[in-house]
Amino acid sequence: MRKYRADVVIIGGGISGLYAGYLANKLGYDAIVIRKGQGATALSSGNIDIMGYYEGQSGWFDSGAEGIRFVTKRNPTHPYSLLDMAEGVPDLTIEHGKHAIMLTDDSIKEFNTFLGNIYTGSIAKNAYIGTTLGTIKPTGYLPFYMANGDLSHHNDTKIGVVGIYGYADFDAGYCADSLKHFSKQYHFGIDEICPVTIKFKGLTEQSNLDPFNIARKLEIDEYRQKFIDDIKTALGSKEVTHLAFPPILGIDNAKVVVSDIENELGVKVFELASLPPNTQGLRLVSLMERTSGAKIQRGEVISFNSDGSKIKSVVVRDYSSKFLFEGDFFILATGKFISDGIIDTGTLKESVFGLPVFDGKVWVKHFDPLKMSERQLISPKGHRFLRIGIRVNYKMQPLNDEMNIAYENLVAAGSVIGGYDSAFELSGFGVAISTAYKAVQTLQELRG
Amino acid sequence: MEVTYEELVQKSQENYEKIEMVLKKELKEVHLYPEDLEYMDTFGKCINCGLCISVCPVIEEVGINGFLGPREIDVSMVRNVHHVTDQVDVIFKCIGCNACHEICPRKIPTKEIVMFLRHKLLMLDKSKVPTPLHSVMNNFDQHKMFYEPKPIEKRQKIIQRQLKKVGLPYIPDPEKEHADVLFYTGCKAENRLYLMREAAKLILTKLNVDFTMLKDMVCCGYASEEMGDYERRDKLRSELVQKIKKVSPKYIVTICPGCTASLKRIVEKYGLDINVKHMVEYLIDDIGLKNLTVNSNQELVVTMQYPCNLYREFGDYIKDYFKQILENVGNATVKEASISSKCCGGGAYVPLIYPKISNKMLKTKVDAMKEENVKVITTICPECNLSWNTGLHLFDKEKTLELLDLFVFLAALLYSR
Repeated sequence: MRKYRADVVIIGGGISGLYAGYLANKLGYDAIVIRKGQGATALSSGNIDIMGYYEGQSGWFDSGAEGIRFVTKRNPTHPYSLLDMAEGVPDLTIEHGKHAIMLTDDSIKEFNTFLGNIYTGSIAKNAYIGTTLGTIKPTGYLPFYMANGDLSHHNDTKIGVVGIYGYADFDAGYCADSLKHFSKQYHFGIDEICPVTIKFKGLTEQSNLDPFNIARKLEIDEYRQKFIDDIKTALGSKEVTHLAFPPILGIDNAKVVVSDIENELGVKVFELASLPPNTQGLRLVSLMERTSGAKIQRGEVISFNSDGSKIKSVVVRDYSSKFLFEGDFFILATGKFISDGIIDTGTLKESVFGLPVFDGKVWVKHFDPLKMSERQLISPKGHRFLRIGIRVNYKMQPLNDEMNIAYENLVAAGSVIGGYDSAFELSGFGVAISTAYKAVQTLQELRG
Repeated sequence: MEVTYEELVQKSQENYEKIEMVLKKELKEVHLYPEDLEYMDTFGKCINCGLCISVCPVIEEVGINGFLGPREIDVSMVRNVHHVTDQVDVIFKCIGCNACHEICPRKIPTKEIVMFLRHKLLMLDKSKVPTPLHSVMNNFDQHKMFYEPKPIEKRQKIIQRQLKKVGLPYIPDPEKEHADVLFYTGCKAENRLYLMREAAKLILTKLNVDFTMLKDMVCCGYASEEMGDYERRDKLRSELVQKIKKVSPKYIVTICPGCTASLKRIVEKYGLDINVKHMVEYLIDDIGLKNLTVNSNQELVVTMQYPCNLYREFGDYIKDYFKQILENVGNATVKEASISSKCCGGGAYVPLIYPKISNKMLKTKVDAMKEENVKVITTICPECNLSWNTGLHLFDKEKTLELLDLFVFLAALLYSR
C-alpha cells in the first residue's frame, strides 16, 4: 500500500472541506483533501445562505444576524449556538448570538477573499432572489452572476425571463408568471415581468438540451454572439431593464459571458437560483479547487487506524488501489446522506469513524422513515432526518455517546454536524463556512 | 370527505396485486438472473442530480439528444435489462472513460453497468451487436488477439524501418523461460504500434532488467470485457494465466493502461503473487529516477494526455509519475492543458462503431490544444496514441502539433548517452 503524509488530512471535498483546506494551507499546514466524488455543494445554487427561516418565526428573517440571534436563544444544540459559546458555556454578559455573528461574518469575509471577492452581500441584510421555479428565497451573499438579482432592491424594473426552446428544465412563461405573483405578495418594486423564449440558433438541431451544453457553447465567442443576437430578435420592441436567465451563463468563464451580454444589450443580467442539474454549484466547486492550494486526492476513506485517543491514519480506496494517509490532524467534512457522510448499516452512524449521530435532541440509532419525516415535502417543521448528524462541542470536536471528545486530533465541519436542517432553515453555506473556520481555529489551538 | 387509513391500505393492496400480476406475467416471458437484480439496485442509488451529464465527453459532443448519458443508463436501463435490445445505440456510445464515476456523489459504477448491459445484449440477441465487433470476436477466436497479426517478414521490415527513422538499434526479443520481469506488450503495441513496443524493450535492456516476453501473445481479456463478452474474456484469461505461470515472474510490466488494469484484476482473481505495474510506475518505483538520469540539452515543452484507464483506476499518482519522468529524465518543461485529463476519444469501441463521435471528440481536442499553443503531446497509452494519430492526421493538416510517445522519447535519450 502506498503511504502518504500530511499535516492535515481533510475528509470530504465540499464547501467546508475545500475551505478548511484553504485555511489550513494559509496557516502553513501541508493539507490534503480526500474526496470520493462531488457532493451536495456541486448541486447547490452557489449563494451563501446564512439563516432564512426557523420554526416559530413568522415569515423570513430580515438578516442572517437576526436569524442567528433567534436560533441561539431557542436551540442550544444548533451549530450557531455552539459557535456562540466562546468559552464553552453561554456568555450571559453579552447579547445572544453576538459571538456567532462575529465569527460567521469573519469567516464569510475570509471566504470571499479566498475566492477573489466574487460575492456581494452582508450578514446584516438578507437579499431576496428568484428561483427557476418562480419562487422567492432569502439569502445572505450573492455570487457575481446573481448580483443584480436581489429583487427587494428593484425599483420600477422591467424583467425579461429568458428561456430556450428545447431546454425542458426551465419554462420561462411559468417562471415569469410565478415571479409576478410573488413579487406582488412581497411588494417588490418590479414593474413588469415577461417571458422571452428564444430559439438558440447555435443549437437548433437539438431538442433535448442540458444546461451544461448551453453553458459550454456560450463560453465560445461565436456562439455567444449568436445567442445575444437571438435575444435581440426575440425582444423586438419590448423594453426591459433586467434579463433573468436559468443557470446557463458559462461554467469557468461566467464573468465574461455575463459582462458581454450586459454590454451588448445594455441591460442588467442575473441568473436565477436553480435546482440540479445545475452549473452554479459546479462553478463554485471548480473555483475552490483551483484556488484552495490544498492537494486534492480522489478516493473513499474505508477504514482508519487509531491508538484509542488519536487518529493515526486513514485508508483510502480509489478504484482498485489502496493508499494510507498519515496525518497529525484530521478534519471530518463528509456531509450528510447525499454524500454518504451518514449511513444506515442496521444502525445509523457516521460513515468514516463510526461516530454516533443525534437529531438535535436525542441520539438516533435506527432509521424510521415514518417518524423521521413529515408528510409534506416542504413542511413548516422541516424534516427530522435532515437534522441528523454527529454531535460536536463548541470547538467542533466530535463527541462519542458518553459526551466525551471522541478523538483528540479530530474536528468536524459542515453538514455532517447534526442539529440543524440546512434545506429548511436556509442556512447551508453559512454553517458550513463558519464551522470550517472554527474547526481550523481549533486545530491551531491544539497545535499550541 | 377525507380518505381513511384503511382505504389507503386497501388501495395500496390493490395496486400491489396489480403490479405482482404484471411482474409474474413478465417473468414468464423474460428470464432474469441474480446479477440482474444486483444492478437493478443502482436505480434506487441514483439521486438524479445530473452531475454526470456535466462531465460526459460524449454528451459534450453530441448533446443529450445524441446520447442519453450515464443518468439514463443508471436509472432507466438497469430497471429492465431485457429491453437492452431496443437501445443498442445507447450502450455502445459510452466511451468508458469513467468520468461519471469520478464525479458521482453516490459512486455508481456506470462503466461496469454498461459492460454488463453489453454482456446482456450478447446473451439475448447476438445479431444486434454492431458488426465491427463480430470481426473483433473472430480475431480473438483465431489469433487470441484484438488484431489479425501481420506476416512476420512484413512486420520485421516495418520495425526495422521505423527504428532506423528514429535512430534506435534493433535487438531481438528475449527468449528466456524464466525471468524476474515479464514484459507484457498488449494487443495494440504488438500489432500496430511496433515502435512503442521496441522502445520499451530497449529501455528494459539498457537498464539491465532481467526480463522476458511471451512468445505468442494472448490478450488480457480487457477488450472482450469492454464489449461484454465475458465468456471469451474468461477463456483468454485462463490461457494467459497458464503462460504467466510458466514464466513465474515477480513483476509484470506493461505499456498499456488497459492491460495493467486487467492484469491487476487477473492476478488478484487467480491469487498469483505477482506485482503488476505500468512501465511508468516500474521505472520510478523499482528502477529509481537516479538510475535514469540523462544529461539532455534538449529544450522541450510537452503536454500530457493522461490515460483514463490508468489514473481513474489506480489513482492520480500516475499523473505525477508521468510528469516526474518528463521533468527529471527528459529535462522537459511540463505544461498541463485544460483537456489533459479528458478522454482521447478512443475508448470502448466507440471509434469502431461510431467513428463520427470519436472524430468529433478528437477535433475538439486538437482545436483546444492549438488554442493553448501546445506543440508536443505525449502519451503513455497505445489507445491514446492511436487516436491522437488519427486526430492529428485528420484535423492538423498544417502539422503544428507533434505526437511524442514517452517510451520512444526515453529510449532515444538512453541510447544517446
